Amino acid sequence: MIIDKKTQKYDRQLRLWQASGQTALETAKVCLINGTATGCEILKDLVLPGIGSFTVVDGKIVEGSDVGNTFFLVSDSIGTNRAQAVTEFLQELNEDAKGFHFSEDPVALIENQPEYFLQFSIVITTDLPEKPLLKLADTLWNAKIPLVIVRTIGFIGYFRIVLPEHTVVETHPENVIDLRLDVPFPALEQYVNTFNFETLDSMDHAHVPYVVILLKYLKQWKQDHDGKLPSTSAERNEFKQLVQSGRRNVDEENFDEALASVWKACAATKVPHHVEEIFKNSSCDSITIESSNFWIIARAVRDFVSNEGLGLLPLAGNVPDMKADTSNYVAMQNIYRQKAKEDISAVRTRVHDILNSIGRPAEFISDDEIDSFCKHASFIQVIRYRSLQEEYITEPKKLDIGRWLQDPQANIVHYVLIRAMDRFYESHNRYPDAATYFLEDDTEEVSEEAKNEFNTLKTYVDNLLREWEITNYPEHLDNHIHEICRAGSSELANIASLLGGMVSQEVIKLVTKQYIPMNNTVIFDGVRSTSSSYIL
Amino acid sequence: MPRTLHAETVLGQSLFQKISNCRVLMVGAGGIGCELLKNLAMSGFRQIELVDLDTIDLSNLNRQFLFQKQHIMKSKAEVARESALKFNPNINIIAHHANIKSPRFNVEWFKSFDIVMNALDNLDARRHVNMMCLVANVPLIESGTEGYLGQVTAIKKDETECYDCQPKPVRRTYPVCTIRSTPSQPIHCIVWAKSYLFSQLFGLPEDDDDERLEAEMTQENVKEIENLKKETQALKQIREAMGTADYPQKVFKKVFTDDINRLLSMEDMWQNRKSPVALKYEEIEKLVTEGNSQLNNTEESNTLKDQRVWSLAENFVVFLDSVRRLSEKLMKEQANNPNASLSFDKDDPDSLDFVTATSNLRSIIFDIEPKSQFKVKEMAGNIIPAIATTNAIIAGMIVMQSFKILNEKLNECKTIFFDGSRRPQIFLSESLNPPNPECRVCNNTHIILKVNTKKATLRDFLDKVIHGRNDDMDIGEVIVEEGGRIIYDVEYDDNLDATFEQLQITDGKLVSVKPDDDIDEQNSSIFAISHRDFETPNTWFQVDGEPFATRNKISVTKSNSFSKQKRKLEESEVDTFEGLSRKRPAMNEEILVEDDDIIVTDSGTQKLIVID
Ligand SMILES: [Zn+2]
Repeated sequence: MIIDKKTQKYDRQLRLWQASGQTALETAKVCLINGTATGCEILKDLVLPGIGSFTVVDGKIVEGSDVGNTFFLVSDSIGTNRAQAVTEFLQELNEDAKGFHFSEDPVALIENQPEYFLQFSIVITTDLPEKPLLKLADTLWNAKIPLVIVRTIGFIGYFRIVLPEHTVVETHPENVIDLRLDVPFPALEQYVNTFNFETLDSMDHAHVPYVVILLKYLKQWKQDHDGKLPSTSAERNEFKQLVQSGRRNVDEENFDEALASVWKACAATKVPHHVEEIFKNSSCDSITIESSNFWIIARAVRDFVSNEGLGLLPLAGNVPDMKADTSNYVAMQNIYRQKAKEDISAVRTRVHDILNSIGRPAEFISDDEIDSFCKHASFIQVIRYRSLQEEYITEPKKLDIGRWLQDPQANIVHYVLIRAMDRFYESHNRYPDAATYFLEDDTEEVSEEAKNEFNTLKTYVDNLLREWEITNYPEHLDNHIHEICRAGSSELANIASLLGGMVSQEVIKLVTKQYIPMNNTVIFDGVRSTSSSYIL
Repeated sequence: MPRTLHAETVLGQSLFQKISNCRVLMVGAGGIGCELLKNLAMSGFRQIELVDLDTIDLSNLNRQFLFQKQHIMKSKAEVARESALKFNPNINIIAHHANIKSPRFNVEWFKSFDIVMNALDNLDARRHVNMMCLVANVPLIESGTEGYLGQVTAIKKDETECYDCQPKPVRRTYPVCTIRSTPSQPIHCIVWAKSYLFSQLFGLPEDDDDERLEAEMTQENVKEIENLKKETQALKQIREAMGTADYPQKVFKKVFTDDINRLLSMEDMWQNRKSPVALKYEEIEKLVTEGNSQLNNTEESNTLKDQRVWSLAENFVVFLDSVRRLSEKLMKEQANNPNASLSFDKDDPDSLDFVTATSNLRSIIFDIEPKSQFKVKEMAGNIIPAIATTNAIIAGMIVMQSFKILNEKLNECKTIFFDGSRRPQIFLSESLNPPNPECRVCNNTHIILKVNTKKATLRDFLDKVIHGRNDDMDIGEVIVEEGGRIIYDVEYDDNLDATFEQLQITDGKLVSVKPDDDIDEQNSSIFAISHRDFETPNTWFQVDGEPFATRNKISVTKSNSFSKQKRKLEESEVDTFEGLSRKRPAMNEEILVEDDDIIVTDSGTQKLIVID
C-alpha cells in the first residue's frame, strides 16, 4: 500500500480540499498580467500546491527596483524580460506546474487581441490601468472566466473578484449532520421500534445509540402532546427530564450524548432559507442547453423537494460518532445510508429526465457530481458578482461609498485613492510620486514638488467624489493623499507576500469550487492590520 | 537603484535604519519560517540567525518554497539559509541545525538579539523560547497556522501576556488499561499500534513501561497490571526472532491471538463490555490465498488508494509485510550501530503501513470501526493541514508587528487572528493583554545566575544565593525545581552536597526556586544558569538581579504569618497534592499521543493555534 509520491507531497493540503480539489487545481490554467512583486507572490502560492499551468504576460524589462521587492529576481535579471525572468524562477518551485511567459505589453495585447485571454481558466492582473482593465473585464465576463484585479500600494492591498456567477457545492460547513430526529422516516422509525429498553441488559442499555434514545422519547412526548415537539425552553427541559428518567446509572455515556443533543432534536428540519432563494432563481426555472450542471441538479433537487422529498432536501446520510456497540451503530448507519441512497437515486432520475428534455445524454452529468450535490444540498451557495462595468460606469455604489467614507477608520478610503491614482495615471502616464518628499530629514516641511503632486491627486479625488455625488469632503482623505504622494506606488515586499497569500487563497477557492470566495472587493491596511470587504 | 529602495521609501529613513541594525532570531524554518526569512530579507533586515532541528521531507514541498526535491533529508536551517542567500547575497544569515533547547542557546545568547520570532510547530519549544525571552527580556513575536487559520501576537516581559498566561490545552492522554486491555475507539487502537507495539518491536526497549503500569495500579486492576507486564516480557523474547522468516507470524499470533485469549480469560473485565474476538492466523491466511484480498485491484471511482478502508485480509497481508520490512530496516541499521532503533514517522510508508494494519486488526478484534490509511495517518501523526497561502499571510503579519516593536510602539501591536475560510471578516484583532497575575511563568523574577557548575553545590546555592542575601528578608524554606523535577524541598535534602553538574543543572538550564509557604506558586524566581570558571568559593556565584524582588515589596513577617494560616486551612489538600505529584513529578503516568505537530483547541472565542 505504498502511497504515491504525489499524495505524499500534497498530503497537508489534500486534507483541506481532497482529491477532487487537487484535480481541479491541477487542470487549471492561470494567467498573470504583470510580473510584479505581488504577482510573483500570488503565483508562488499557486505553483507550490500544484496549479496546472501559469502564464506570465508582461512587456517590461527587469529594473533595479523590481529586484528590490521581488524575491525571485536577482541583480543578473536586470535588463532581461520580466515575464521570462520571473517564470524561470517560479518554475523551479514545482515541476508539476508548467510555466509559460509572453513578453508582450498587456495593454497592447488587450487592445489588439483580447481573445488571447480566453484560453485561461482564471486571469489575475496586477497594476493594470483602468481603460485596458475595463476592456479585459468585459471580454472575460462574456466568456464567464473569473478575473481577479490586484493592487498593492505601500501598506495597502486591494483585490476585486469579477465573475458573472460562481456556484459552490462543497462549501465545507462546520456541521453537516442531518439526523431527521423531528421527522423520522419510516425505516428509521421501524428500527427504533425494535428496541425494548426494559428488557435490555445493563451492557446493551448503555450501548443504545443516542439517536435511538431520543427518537424513542420524542415519540412518547409527541403522543402526549398532540404530535408536537417540545418548543419552548420549559418544554425542552421537561423533555430532558423525560430522557433522564430512562437512565439507569450515571455511567451511561449514551444518555449524556442524548441529553446534549436535545436542542438539535427539537429543531425543525426544513429547507434552509438561502437554498429556497436559490430554488427561486430564474436559472432554476428555465433549464436550457446552456444551463450549467449546478443549475440542472438544483432544479432536480427542487422538484424532488416538492414531490417525493415531502418538503425536505435529500438526506446526506452521515451519522456522527457516538457511544454504541458496533453492530447497532452499523445497523443505524445503514438505515441512514439507505435512505440517502434512495433520495439520491430519485434525484438522479430527475436529473436524467431534465437532461433528456434538453437533448443531453444521461452521462452528461456524472453520478459522483449528483451524489456530492445531494450530500451538500443544505449548504450550496450561489454568488452573483457585480461587473466592473457596473462598478465603474453604469451603477457605481454612490450612496454606500458616501456612507462608508463617513467613518474615518473604514478602509474604503483606500479604494477612493486607488481609483484616483488610476485617473492620475490615465492623464500623466505615471503614478503620483514625489522624488523628494520632505525638504530635510526629520522635518515636516514638504517640498514644492510634493505639494504639486498632492494638489493634482486631490483634484482626481474631488472629481470622483463629485461623480459619486458625495458633497461633504471627508477630511481624513488628505492624510491618505499625502501618504500616497510620499510612498508613491512602491510595493512593499512584505505586503506583497501578505496580499499574495490572500489572493491565491481566493483563486484556489474559485478554481476548486470549494469554500466560499469573497464578494467582491477586499481592502487590506497593513498599518492597522485590518481588512474589509465591500460589494462595489 | 539599490535593492532596498521600495522598503526605504515606504518605511521611512528612521525605521529603515533600525531594521538594518536589528539582530533577529528566527526559531523554525518550516512553513512560516521560509516565508518569514524571505520577508525579512526583502524588508531590509540584515542580521538574521536561524535555528531549526528538522530535516526536509517530501511533504514540506507544497509550501516551504526554499526547499526542493534535491534537498530532502538535508537540514532545513542550512538549506533555507543557502536558498535565501542565493537571492539576497548581501545579508548575513547564520543557520543552526540544532534544537533550540540545547545549552549553547543560553540566556546570554538570547540577550544578544533585538527581537525573537517564533515560527515553531510544537508547544514544548514555544514554551521554552517564551521563557528564555522573558528571562533575557527580549521581545518575542509568536505565530502559528493550521489550514486556513493563523495567529500572530507579540510578547514582552512585564508589558504583555506571555505565551503561558493563557492555559494551553493539555496533551490528550489515555489510561494504560484502555490502551492495553479495553480499547473502545479507533484512536485507542492507533495509540496502541504506534506507541506500544511499534516501540516494543522496533524502538528502544522502554524501561519505564512497567513504571507507567504501576503508576496506574489500583486495587481492582492489580492482577491485570501484572499480566500486562508479563505480556511485555514475552514480546521482548519474541523480538529475538527478528529476521527469521516466521517472525511476522509469531508476532501476529502473540498479539492478535494469544494475548486476546488471555484477556478473554479475565471474565470480570467483559461483564459490562463487549468481549474481543481473537484472530486466527490460519483462517485469515486461507482467505488470502483464496484471493479475497483486493490489494492489487484497481480502485473504483475516484477515491484515492489510501482513502479506502482495507479488508481483514488486506490488513493481514500489510501487517506481515510491514513487520518484515521494518525488521529488515532495523537490522540493517543495527549492523552499523548495535543500539539503533526505529521511531514512528508518519511520513515513512513502512511505519504507516504497520500502524494502519496493526490498529485495524486490533479494531476488528474489539469490534471497533477500522479506518483508512489516510485517516490513520491523520490520527497517528496528529497531522494538521498546511498550505502556502496562510503561511505567507502570517509571515507578513509577523514582519508588520516587528516594525511596530522596532518603532517602540508595542502598544500598537495586536493579537491577530486570521481565518481564510470564513467570510466576510478575514482578520480579527485584539489589543494585547497585560500579564496575567495568575501566570506561573511570567509572574516571576527572572535572574541570570553565573555559576561554576562544576564546583558549586546545591548547599552553596541555598546558603549564598537564596538565604545569604539579607537576614531580615529571609525567604524561609524553599522548593527547588529544574525541568519539572524536584531538586530540593524541606523533606527532600538528598542532593544538598551534589554539585550543579552532578545534578545535571548545566549551562542554559532554568532553575526555579519558590518559597515553600507560597501555595499559589506566584513568587518564584527563575535562575538561568550560565557556567563560568570561577575559582574561589566566594565567587562561585554572580547574581544578575534580585531574587524574589516582587515578594520583597511586601513585609516579610506579615506575609509569613498570613501564609501559615492559609496553609493550615488547606493542609489536608496540600498533603494530598504532595503525595500525588510532588514525589514523582517528572513521571508521566499515561501513554501519550506524541505531539510532533499539534495540539489545537478552542479557548473561548480565540482559536488558539500551535503549529507550522
Ligand atoms: Zn505569563
